[in-house]
Amino acid sequence: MSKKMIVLKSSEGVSFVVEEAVARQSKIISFLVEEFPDRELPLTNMTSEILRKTIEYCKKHVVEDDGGGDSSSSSSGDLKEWDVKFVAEIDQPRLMDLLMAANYLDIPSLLDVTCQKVADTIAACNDEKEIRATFNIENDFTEEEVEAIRMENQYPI
Amino acid sequence: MFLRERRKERDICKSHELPFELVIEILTRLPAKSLMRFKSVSKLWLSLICSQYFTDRCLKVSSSSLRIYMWLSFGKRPFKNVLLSSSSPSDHTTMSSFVVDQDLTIAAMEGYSVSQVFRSLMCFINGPSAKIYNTATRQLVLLPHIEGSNIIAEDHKDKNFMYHIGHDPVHDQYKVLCTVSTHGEGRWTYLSEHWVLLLGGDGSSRWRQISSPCQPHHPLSQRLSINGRIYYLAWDRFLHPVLVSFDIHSEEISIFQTPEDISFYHLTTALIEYGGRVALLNHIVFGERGEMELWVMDDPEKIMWSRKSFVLHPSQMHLLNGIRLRVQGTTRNGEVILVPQNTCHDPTTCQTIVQPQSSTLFHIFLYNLQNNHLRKVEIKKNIQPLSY
Repeated sequence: MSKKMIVLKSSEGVSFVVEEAVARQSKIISFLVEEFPDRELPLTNMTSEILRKTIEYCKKHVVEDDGGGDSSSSSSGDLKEWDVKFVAEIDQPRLMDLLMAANYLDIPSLLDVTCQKVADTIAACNDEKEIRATFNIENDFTEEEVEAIRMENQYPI
Repeated sequence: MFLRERRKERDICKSHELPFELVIEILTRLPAKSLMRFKSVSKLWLSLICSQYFTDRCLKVSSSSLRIYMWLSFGKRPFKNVLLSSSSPSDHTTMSSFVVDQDLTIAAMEGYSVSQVFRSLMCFINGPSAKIYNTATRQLVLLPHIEGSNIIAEDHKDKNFMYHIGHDPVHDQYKVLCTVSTHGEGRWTYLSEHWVLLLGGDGSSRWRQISSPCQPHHPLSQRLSINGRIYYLAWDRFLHPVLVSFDIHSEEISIFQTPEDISFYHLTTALIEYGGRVALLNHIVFGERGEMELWVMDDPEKIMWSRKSFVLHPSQMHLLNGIRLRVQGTTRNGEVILVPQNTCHDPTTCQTIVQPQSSTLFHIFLYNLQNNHLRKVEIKKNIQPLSY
C-alpha cells in the first residue's frame, strides 16, 4: 500500500508533497488533514525556506508505522546528535523563524530544540549588552535603573 | 520588544516579535545563574524574570526531571561542607547512574547543614538560625530571628528548632513553619511553640506565632510536605510517637496517633508519600532480610491506617548484603530512595567503623514498592577539580 501524501503550500505558493505521517507531527496539520482531507494546505505565513527546514526536521523524526519491530527510524542518541547539528547549522535570524514556525505548527519537539538553542546562545553572551546586540533588543533602562537592579538583594523566591 | 526584524526584504513570519509565551519558553531554559545576570537586558525581561508566573515555570521545569543533591561533610568540626548536584535531567525509570556535575557550594553555607529539600528550595539550619537556599537562583537568605518567643527568652536547656518549608496551593505562597520545643518542668513534659514565616516579597516579613490548642510535643527529624500540608513525627508527653499535621493555608495544627501495632523506632521508621497519601515505612530489617512494613493513612478524619508488607525477591538480596540504610524520601514515581550508611557497628569492640570503600564510591538504592524491584544507582562525579 502506498503511503498517503499531502500537499503543503508556502507563502510564495511553492507546493511541497509530504508523507502524511511526516506532516502529522504538527498538531495543526494533523487537525487540518482530518478537517479538510484531499486538499492542499496553504501555510501563508511560512516561506519555502523555513517550510523546507521544518519538513526536513519532521522527516528525520517521523516514527515509521510499517509493522516493523523497531518503530523509530533512528535511535534516540543519534536523533539528539542530529538535532544539535540541525540547529547549529542555522543562522540566528532563521533560527528565530524556525522557532516561530514550530510554535505556529505546534511541533513540540522542534519548539524544544529551537528554544534550547536560543537559550544556549543567550547563556553564551557575556553581558546584557551582548544579548541586546545579538537579538536586537532596545535598552529601555536608564543607567540608574540598571544600577538599582545590580544592587538589589532579593529574597530567594 | 524581544526581536526586531533586520531582514525587511526577507520577511517570513507575519509577526516579527516573539510572543510572550515563547520568550518565557526560552528564558526558562536558561540556567538560573545567567538569568539573574540578564535581568537588566530590558524591562520586559526584568518583569518576566521577576514574575510569579516565571518563578513557577522555573520550578515546574526543574521538577520535571530527577535531580540528586549530595551534601558532604569532611574532617572534624567545623566540617568542610560541599553541596553537589546533577544538572542534566535523567530518565529515572531506567538509568543506572547519576552524574554529579555541579558544585552548588557557597561560603555562606559554612557551619550549616541541610535539613530539608522542597522542590528547588533547601533549608539550612545551624542551631536556632535557618537559611533558605534557592537552587534555581543560587541565592541563600538568612531568615529573620523569631521575636517574642517565651521558650527562646526563658532559660531552658536543649532548645529544639525544627524548620520546614511548605507550599500553600490556595494562595500560591511558600511558608516556613518553625516548631520551637524544649523540656518542661516535669520529667517527660514538653513545651512547644509554632511560628510561621511567609517567604517572598521584599524580605520584610516577620515570624508570626500560631496559637494552637494542640498538645505540646517534641518534633523528630522525619517530615513530609504533601497536599498542602506539612507532616512531621514527634514525641508526645507520654513518649508516644504522634503524627503532627500543619495545614499550610489555614495554619491549623492537628495531631494523629500513629498505628498501635507499629514497632516504632525513630531511626528506622520513615515518613513517606505513598500513592499521594502519608505513610510510615518501617525498614529496620530491610538490609538484613529485605523486609519492610508500610502503614498508609487511609482516612485522616477517622485515623485509619492500613498495613502492607513487602519482601524483596531473594534474587535481589545480594544487592543489600546486610548494609544499613536510611530512607531519604521517594522519587516522583514513587520509588523509595535508600541511602547506604557507610558506618557499621562492631558488636565485639563496641566501635563505629567507617567503611573505607563506601566513603569514596557513592551509590543509592531505589526501591519500587509497586513491582517489588530494587535498583542500585551509582553516583558519578564529573567536576574538576575535586580533591576527594
